[in-house]
Amino acid sequence: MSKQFEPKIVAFLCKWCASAGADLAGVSRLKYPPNLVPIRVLCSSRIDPQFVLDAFEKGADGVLIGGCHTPNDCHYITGNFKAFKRYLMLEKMLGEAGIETNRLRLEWISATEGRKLAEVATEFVEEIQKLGPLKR
Amino acid sequence: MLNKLKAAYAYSSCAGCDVAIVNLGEKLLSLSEKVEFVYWTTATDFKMEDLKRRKELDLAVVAGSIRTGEHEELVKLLRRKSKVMIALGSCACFGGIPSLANLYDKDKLLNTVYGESPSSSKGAEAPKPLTKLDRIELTIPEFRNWCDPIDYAASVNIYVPGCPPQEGTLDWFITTIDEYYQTRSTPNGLMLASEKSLCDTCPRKLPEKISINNLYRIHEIKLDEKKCFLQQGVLCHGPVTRGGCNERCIRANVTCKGCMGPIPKVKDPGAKLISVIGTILQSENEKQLGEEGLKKIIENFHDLTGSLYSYSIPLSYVEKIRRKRRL
Repeated sequence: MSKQFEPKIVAFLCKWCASAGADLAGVSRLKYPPNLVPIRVLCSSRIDPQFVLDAFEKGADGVLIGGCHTPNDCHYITGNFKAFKRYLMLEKMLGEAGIETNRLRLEWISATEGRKLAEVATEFVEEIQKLGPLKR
Repeated sequence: MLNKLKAAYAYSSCAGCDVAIVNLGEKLLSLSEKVEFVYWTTATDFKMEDLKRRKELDLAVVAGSIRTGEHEELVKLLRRKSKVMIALGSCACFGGIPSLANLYDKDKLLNTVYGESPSSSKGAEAPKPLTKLDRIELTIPEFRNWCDPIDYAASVNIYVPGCPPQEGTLDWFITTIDEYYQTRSTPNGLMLASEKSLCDTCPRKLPEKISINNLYRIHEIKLDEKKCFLQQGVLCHGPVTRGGCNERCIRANVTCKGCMGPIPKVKDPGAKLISVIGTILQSENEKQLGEEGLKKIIENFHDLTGSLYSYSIPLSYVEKIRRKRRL
């Protein structure tokens, strides 16, 4: 049996929603693939585009950004919109440089959506498995 | 009296840096008392063979990036022979405008220039490094896969950024050479630019809060001569670029394009600029526009990567990723 490619995925999760969602997924004992490396940040707008690109450069095959639902969930009022704009521009830049844009994913996950986090993680890992490793 | 410094000047650029040096006028005369150029293809009549025959040099000035195999060979040769290596101009320091070609494959570039462009004849092919005719063999330098700053091939002692380096920077450069002439102690990776960003010394009024409707290209709107460019919705590299250029572009009502290179704390100037635009774009109407509205605006940005890295593609993460994928 050939060994399946196990992607490495860095997940930047905001403290108030997505990270709390991940905690809920944990205490609810939901199953999802172990490929995610979660990094908790105070707000999704704290994620400098350099972090995301640095993750790709240092060997991540995919990057997940998790924040609070738009328009009104953000703990800091408009942080999620800032993250959203940066995500769109990053996606555009990756596309222009010939890197698959679906390696970068943005999801709004609230503190009650542990199930959604598990689903997103499973789906994202499958998608990256299909794409293969970033460095070939 | 101390011996004159032997210097070589190699270039692969538009020769704008040469002009900037020649424009120094009288200051150049004082330099000529201390420095003797033994190789400078634009100004003197020495050939590559003369350079190869020399055992040792003091200074090597390189302007322009490494585009062909010959450039790489020349940079490596100069590094072996000289004590102080100087990168003159943005191309030599960060890759410069020629390195924007790194966003495309080598084959695509050659095909566009020699095959698809309106001026090339049908079925034309890109010239190869070696062409065999009946009796003779013709060689030209190989076109490399990537266009690199010179520190890719050799360690650099002094960086002189700017496109071309401004008078203030060149004065600093001459002082540095003077110091070396007196003390003979080699600097290591010295960058002749300010540690602070251009915004720090910008003559325009610092706005308190910025909210822009869209990112405009420079011809699309009429620019106010006193207002901050970012406030007017035009991409200005000021926040992430080193100062020290005397803000010549800003004073001429042209945005900063980042030719002085990124400030020390910024690793990837384009990514940092994305962060800047992310903050100021529609910052007052985010909720009214919603995700769809913002998406529509950002989708229409023209050549985002090219405008974010006008002079510094080789410093960017995206190019590092591209390179790793190719290998």
